[in-house]
Amino acid sequence: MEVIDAPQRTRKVGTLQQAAALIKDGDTLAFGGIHSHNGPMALIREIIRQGTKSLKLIANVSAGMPADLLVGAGCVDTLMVCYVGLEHLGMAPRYREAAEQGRIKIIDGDEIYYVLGLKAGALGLPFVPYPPGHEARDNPKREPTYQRTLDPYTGREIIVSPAIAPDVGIIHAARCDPYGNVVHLGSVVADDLIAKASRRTIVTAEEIVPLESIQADPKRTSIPGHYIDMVVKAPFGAHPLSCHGVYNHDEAAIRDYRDADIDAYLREYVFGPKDHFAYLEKFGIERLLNLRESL
Amino acid sequence: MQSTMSKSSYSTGELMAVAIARQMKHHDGDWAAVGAYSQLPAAAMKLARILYAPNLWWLAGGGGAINSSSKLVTSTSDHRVLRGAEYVMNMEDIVDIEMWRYSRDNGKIVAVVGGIQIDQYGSSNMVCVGDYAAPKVRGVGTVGLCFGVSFGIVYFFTMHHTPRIFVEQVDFVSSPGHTPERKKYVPPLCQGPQLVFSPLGIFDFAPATGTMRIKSLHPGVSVDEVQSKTGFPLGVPEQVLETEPPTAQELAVLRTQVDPDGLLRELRITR
Repeated sequence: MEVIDAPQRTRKVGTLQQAAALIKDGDTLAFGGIHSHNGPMALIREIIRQGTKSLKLIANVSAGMPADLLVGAGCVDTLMVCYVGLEHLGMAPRYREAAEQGRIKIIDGDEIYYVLGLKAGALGLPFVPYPPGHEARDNPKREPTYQRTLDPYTGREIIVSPAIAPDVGIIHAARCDPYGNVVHLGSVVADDLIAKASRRTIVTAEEIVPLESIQADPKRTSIPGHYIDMVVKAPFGAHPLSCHGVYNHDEAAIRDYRDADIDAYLREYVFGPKDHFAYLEKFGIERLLNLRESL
Repeated sequence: MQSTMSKSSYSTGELMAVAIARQMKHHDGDWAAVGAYSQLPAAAMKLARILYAPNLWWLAGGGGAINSSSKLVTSTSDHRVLRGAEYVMNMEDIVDIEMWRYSRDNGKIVAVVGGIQIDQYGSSNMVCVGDYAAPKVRGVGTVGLCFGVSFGIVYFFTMHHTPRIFVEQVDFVSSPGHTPERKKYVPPLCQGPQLVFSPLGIFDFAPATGTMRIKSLHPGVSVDEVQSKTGFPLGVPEQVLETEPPTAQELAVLRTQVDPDGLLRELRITR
């Protein structure tokens, strides 16, 4: 097949350091994936290394270690919670402690607040209106970012929640080409919405593939590159989480994180290693390659 | 007491998965949602589609797999769950269908969910224990329980049966049970919680009062035991039924096709 690739087309490839530098103190930051899967962990470790502070973190729909680590490292000022926990591995300890001690501000969202909030953010809609029934739940009563307004069509009072338009969205996927065309080899979750709603979106990928491989099967592309501002190659970049379609999550490493002293953990796995490969070397080739399992 | 197989030829986890699967006989052709940390209902859905409800559609949590038919794994959003699935939903798809009852018939959307607290009216809480402003325990968050006002039917499952989970009144209503506010605000097509599957028994809600009562107790469980482990007075029927143990066929399908790795036998279930 003949492939046309304009030589002047801008390649978006950057480094983890360059990507993390796009995230400024006080930014609203969204990250992709779900539970112990597809979190952009290499980039999150670099954000912590760079000392970014006062983030307004939009935790993904069911967030685990990425949210907990950023909170534990003191990078987070406000946390939008839909779910933050470690699924079958229990509670997320630093999130729980920070919330119970009032050290971070919590926004008590849920799936509608998060998903339709991002949708509204992507579309420039001012807020999300709710159908009848949600008056019977406590989130709209106790969480002050819910508001009530009149539905001009019925004259009835309705519940609304705000649009979510992150300054930066960060996602991790199996493949991406130099122009930002993303290929997930498993669940997309809300990564597509994050890319649409965020002013800037960074994708870290297990491999950067040539444009030809995208063109060979365009229906495989899960997020088109026009939403992506930077592409970073990060093999095992979701570790200790899984990258769907490439490797399983490293459950023992997540347990070790859960049970560790956070400062010791940060010293050993975030500030200690000079870069992502030095982090990976702490686990070794055998352990990492044994996590590989394709779909 | 930890659940073991010492006294019987099946574990409490297997018994509960079978009980939930049997309930799915009523939902052949319906669409069921299962959340995170949900090996019990996930196993039940797989078992039900093999034995009882071949037309059941089911969603494995936020990973989005529809009709996953691979063996049971611990995380419902693990990529191994996608094997043998028929579609992979993204989050927008999931919100679309879980608010779907607004345009479709009642009872089509079934959810099997949990909570850190469940009260006598079937309200469920995932947010906090104690005062919301200064919680003793900060919970994981409401997640998909926001759809408790749009699902047609809600079933609960719990891995433990203690007075800390089964409380008189939840500290935060993530999903309302049979409360005055549900009556006032939630369209009646959304029927709310119908059954609770716990390690001690199966419970329903009295239509007149909306309060939880015993439907059946698992083999070896007494009314006194379950009452002593429940934080409010349970309704007790004149004749207390015993949950029918798993049949040889149910166990065979469960152990060979659904859960060959025996995760249900290793679940940390307390009773």
